[in-house]
Amino acid sequence: MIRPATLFTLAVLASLTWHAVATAEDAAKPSVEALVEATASDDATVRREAIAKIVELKPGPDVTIPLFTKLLEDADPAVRLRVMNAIADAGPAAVPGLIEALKNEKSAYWACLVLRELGPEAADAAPALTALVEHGQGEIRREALLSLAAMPKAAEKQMPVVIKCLADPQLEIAAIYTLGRIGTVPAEAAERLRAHARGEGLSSLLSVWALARSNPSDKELNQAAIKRLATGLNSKYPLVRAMASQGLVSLKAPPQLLKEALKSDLSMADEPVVRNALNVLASMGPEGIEFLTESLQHPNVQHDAILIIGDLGPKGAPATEALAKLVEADNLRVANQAIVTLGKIGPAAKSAVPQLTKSLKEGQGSIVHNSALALGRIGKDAQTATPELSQVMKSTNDPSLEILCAWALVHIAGDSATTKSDVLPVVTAAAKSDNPVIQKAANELLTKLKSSDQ
Amino acid sequence: MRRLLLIAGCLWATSSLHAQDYGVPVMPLYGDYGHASTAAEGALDGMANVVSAQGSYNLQTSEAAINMTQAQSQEIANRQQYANTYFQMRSQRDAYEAKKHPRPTEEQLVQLAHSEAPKGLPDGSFNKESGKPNWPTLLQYPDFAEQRKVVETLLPKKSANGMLGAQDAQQFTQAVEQMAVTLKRGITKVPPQQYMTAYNYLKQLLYSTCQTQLP
Repeated sequence: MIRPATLFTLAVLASLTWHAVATAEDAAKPSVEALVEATASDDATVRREAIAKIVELKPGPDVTIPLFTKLLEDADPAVRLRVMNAIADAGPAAVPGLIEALKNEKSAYWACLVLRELGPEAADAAPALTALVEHGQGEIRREALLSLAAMPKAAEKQMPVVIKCLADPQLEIAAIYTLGRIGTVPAEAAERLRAHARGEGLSSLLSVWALARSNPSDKELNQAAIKRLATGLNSKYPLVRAMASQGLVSLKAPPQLLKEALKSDLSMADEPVVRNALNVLASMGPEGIEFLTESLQHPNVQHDAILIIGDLGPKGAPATEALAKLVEADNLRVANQAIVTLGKIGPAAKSAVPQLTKSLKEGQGSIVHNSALALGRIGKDAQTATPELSQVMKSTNDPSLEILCAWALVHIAGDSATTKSDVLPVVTAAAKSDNPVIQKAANELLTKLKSSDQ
Repeated sequence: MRRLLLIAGCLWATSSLHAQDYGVPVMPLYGDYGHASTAAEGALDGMANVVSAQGSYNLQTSEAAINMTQAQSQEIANRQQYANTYFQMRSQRDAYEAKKHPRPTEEQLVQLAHSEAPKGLPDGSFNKESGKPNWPTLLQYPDFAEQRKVVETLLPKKSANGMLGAQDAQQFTQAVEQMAVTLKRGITKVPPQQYMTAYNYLKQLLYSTCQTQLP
């Protein structure tokens, strides 16, 4: 339950913010000051709210960066998360403040995360990060090394320190990753990585990956790495599976090689394996369609798989039959996305017209809209749906659905005199709509109808 | 179409982390195969998250950890959890930004249907004392108990952090989706008005928490 004192302070903050927005720019300054003061409140709820309001007001980096870098020390995680997001949004302007924050034990860990997010833009922080890798405490050293890895050119200049970390059990994996991210493995480190590569587990997988990244022209080495990483997708250890999945994408593995490596039937695989495989499949393009279709068998990954198929556009056609079945799924979000994706496949999804016609008639909410859209995108081969489209167009009270049905009818049978006589009154009325989207759609349709007359 | 997708990792992030429970950090999933460099860069960032999670796990299970107090061990786990949440939030923001592109008029018409639907929950949707949802009658049935518990566990996190991390958001979405599925399966057995009240509540709850739309 919120304390009355907190409620009072929040109300004051809200009114201060309103005042700042409602009055002239000069008058906004005291409000920002009051908000800054509120960030020192004993009450975490007040501090969170004050930060949210400061972000909203955008008083400029001169005010926010020193304040926010100090607030990284805040013990309340919600305050810290808001501050970190605000600092990351500020971009390179935040780097000097973050370098200062690296010097403080309480804020260093969080500053490292933001610097990692900023990546090469934060290269000025590389020397300070390197110092932290060498002299910091606990996991702060690891986070500093990972931040360094996110700025590869700057990290390469700190190579001796990175190599030294290979001998530290707490930093070894992060150091291997850093070498791979830089894309250079010096001779003195290569032997150690090759020895790891012959072993098992995460350090082995990462070593294989790092060696491949540092030798992009060595096809044999890269193919072996891809095969090894693909095997990792089936690991019983979640972190190994995740690493394998991301490693495969980062190596930009050729689809054919991935297909060979991913030869297990995904419809029979465990869901976590499929989730990681999806990450790889998303980068494969049309070559992955067979596996994507198989992954539709898993209820918890269906929505993501459908979205990826949708990105393939007409090349997602081989999944039409599986998608058509999902149009009738009890999970309405999945059904809706299947309909949208069938529309993206376009004319090649013509075998799904019966299911789309049914969902047009019986669907709920925007499923009806998307069914009309999908039928229109299928075009001439959706001819059998025109009576239902016409019926929905005439019976609906929803102006956007009305014009969508008209749009679909024009795209399916725009040359037909019956369609024209059905659609023209609807489109003409919609052209006078107050709603700019409906008006624009109507005018586009009128132009299309006129051009088909000529 | 260029689309940046975001899915949660293979396992749920746990709210109270112990070494054996370490969740796999969220992985950005790039559906845009035409931009392999972006996908590859995203994967490199994802690998760093895995290295970080593995490092915290190792630190907690190392020989040095034998002398660690419970509080110190928990601190490592908590830091890792918040680090994961931070990167999930950033990925979600990137995904949102990537979706901002002009759509064809016909797609804007579908969006119009969405935009005309109520987005937020009306007053009285939550208990003022406990902050828990005031579930509509149908959703109070035991069939929904499991998902109600998930939702009621995650809502305070949203309230505290301003948004849910990707893994929590996915868990929340799946719980609400499952409630909608159960509701739909019983559609013929309940009064239509009650069905629509319950469905709209779920729709608004999901949108106001995860900005995800049910149809």
